[in-house]
Amino acid sequence: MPPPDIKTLIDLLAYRAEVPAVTPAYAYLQESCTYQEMWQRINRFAAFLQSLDIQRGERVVMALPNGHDFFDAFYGVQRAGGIAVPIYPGFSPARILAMVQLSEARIVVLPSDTPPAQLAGFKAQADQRGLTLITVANAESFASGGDFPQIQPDDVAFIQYTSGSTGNPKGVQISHRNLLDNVRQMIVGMEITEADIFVSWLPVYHDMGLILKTMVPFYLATAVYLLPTSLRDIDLWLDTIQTHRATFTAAPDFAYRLVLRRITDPTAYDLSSLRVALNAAEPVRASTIQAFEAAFNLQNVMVAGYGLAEATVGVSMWKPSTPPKVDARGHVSVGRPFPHISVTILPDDQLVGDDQPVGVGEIGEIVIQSIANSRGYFNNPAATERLFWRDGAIRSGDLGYLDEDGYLYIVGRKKNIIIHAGHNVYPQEIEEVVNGVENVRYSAAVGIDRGGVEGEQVVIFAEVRGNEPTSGDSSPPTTDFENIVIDIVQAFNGRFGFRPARVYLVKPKTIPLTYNGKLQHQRLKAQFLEGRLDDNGRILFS
Amino acid sequence: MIIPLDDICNLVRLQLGIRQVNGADHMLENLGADSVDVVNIIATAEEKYQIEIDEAELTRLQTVSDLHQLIQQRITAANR
Repeated sequence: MPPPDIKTLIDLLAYRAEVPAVTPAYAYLQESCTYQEMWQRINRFAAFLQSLDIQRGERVVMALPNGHDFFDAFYGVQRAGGIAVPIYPGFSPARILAMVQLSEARIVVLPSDTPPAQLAGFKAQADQRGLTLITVANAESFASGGDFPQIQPDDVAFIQYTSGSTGNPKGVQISHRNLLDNVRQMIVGMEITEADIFVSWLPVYHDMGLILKTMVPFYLATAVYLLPTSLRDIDLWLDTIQTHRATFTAAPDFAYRLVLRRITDPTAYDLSSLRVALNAAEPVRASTIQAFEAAFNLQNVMVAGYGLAEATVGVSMWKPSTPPKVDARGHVSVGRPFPHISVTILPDDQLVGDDQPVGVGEIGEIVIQSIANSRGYFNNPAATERLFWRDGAIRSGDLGYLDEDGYLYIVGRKKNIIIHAGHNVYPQEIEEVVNGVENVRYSAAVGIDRGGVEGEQVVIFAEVRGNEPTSGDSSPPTTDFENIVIDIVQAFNGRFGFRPARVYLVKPKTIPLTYNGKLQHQRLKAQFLEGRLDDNGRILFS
Repeated sequence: MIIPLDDICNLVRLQLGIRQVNGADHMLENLGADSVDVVNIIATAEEKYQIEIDEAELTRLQTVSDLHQLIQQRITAANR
């Protein structure tokens, strides 16, 4: 543990560079980076930013993938007194420029290995707008010294843009204090020690990969092996766990399912070193936990977790080495909240100012009181006002409940709820049922109101397996499609006691996801209502 | 345009998730449809055949054949 006078991430990294640690800061693929090296590069980048006249609190947008560049820039900005704005490096130049505008930034950092032609094209666009486009390599000629400002605990360290299903993304402001508080909450709540060994391919430019998988290791000086975010080579993840006898990894449910689909011989891997395989950031399926542990001969290693950017990141996680708790509807408990976090469940139709929590076992909106809660969104007072309930507690927008033992269960997103004949139906529950139907690879449920007396109706979109467009002239397997639809309707009716209004079988990859794998219900609904699924030939059968 | 009874049986099959449907089947009594299912069947037919069916007419519908006749009438009327 670092000494108690560490109040910012910059203090932490300076301390780590000064007091030799047994482990390097991190390893990215085969190359490790010591704290001394990282600190030197951070300072060099900060000196470069000072030469560009960076101001205190100035936002600097960085579109950097997993790798060394990211850490230089992310902490270099903070060292120079600025606020880091990490964004998805796969965004188009237009989208990057939109994020620059949203965060009112002037400087944009691109990867050192950006192809020169691409860089030149982007530079021309940036110049027109009076922006400064740089790469991390541009800092190489600078010395690592400089007169840097004193960073305060309540200074904003970075802004995490939430991907938002429609409309403008919201920028969650995270201070140094928030980060260190949440890091400590996670260390206690997840029982992490110096002896843990982390492996992660999660994006370092997004909260879970950034805070849990890099800041926690930096805080404790534990080993961390980072990988590219691409899951094309999924063996690499398992290989790295095996080679380094890793104890802690994390991923959303889909990634574990992908492992099960792609790895034909799980016995070829020894993952027995794993203490925790955290499953978080999207709905956790009991079937995934069961299948993954069975395939790799593990027991009580995959644990469900819950968090959100507005509470910095981590809120709760199931206790490792304990059998999971799954309720009658198939929801896997995400455990009890971490220290200094309390969860309240409010009625989901509640009026502002109403403050009567619902009873044990009743579903409502999850409201979080935590020392690591963000102060709100950047430049968005209206959204910030809606975020806070009272006394700094935030409305998560997620629906869930607490059982009699205080364990939390996540049921879905508030805005995606479908109100069918006066009853709440949760898309996540529908999708769990539909995804279990043979030949369905992925599904989404949305509520559509056609304006009739019947009110909001459930419409299901199901991506089906094995129907990638072929060049051959084989006729489409209509009877198969019919059987899939009938199976879906039957499974749905068996579970919910009514039938969906319509089932659309769609091509793979039709259902929109955010770059970190979250289903975008509102976007899908808009695409459907505007006729764009039809126009683009995404619907195979209905 | 003449719509075969089979097409309507098929539409009902998919909507209700039932593998076997015949013209003589009574939607509410044999097939277990509820009134919302009937509304949804009509909505699908309206979209598929570009017709409009008045809600008041739904009360007359009993069997799949009734539905077939109603849809056929609307199509004929629309093309006149």
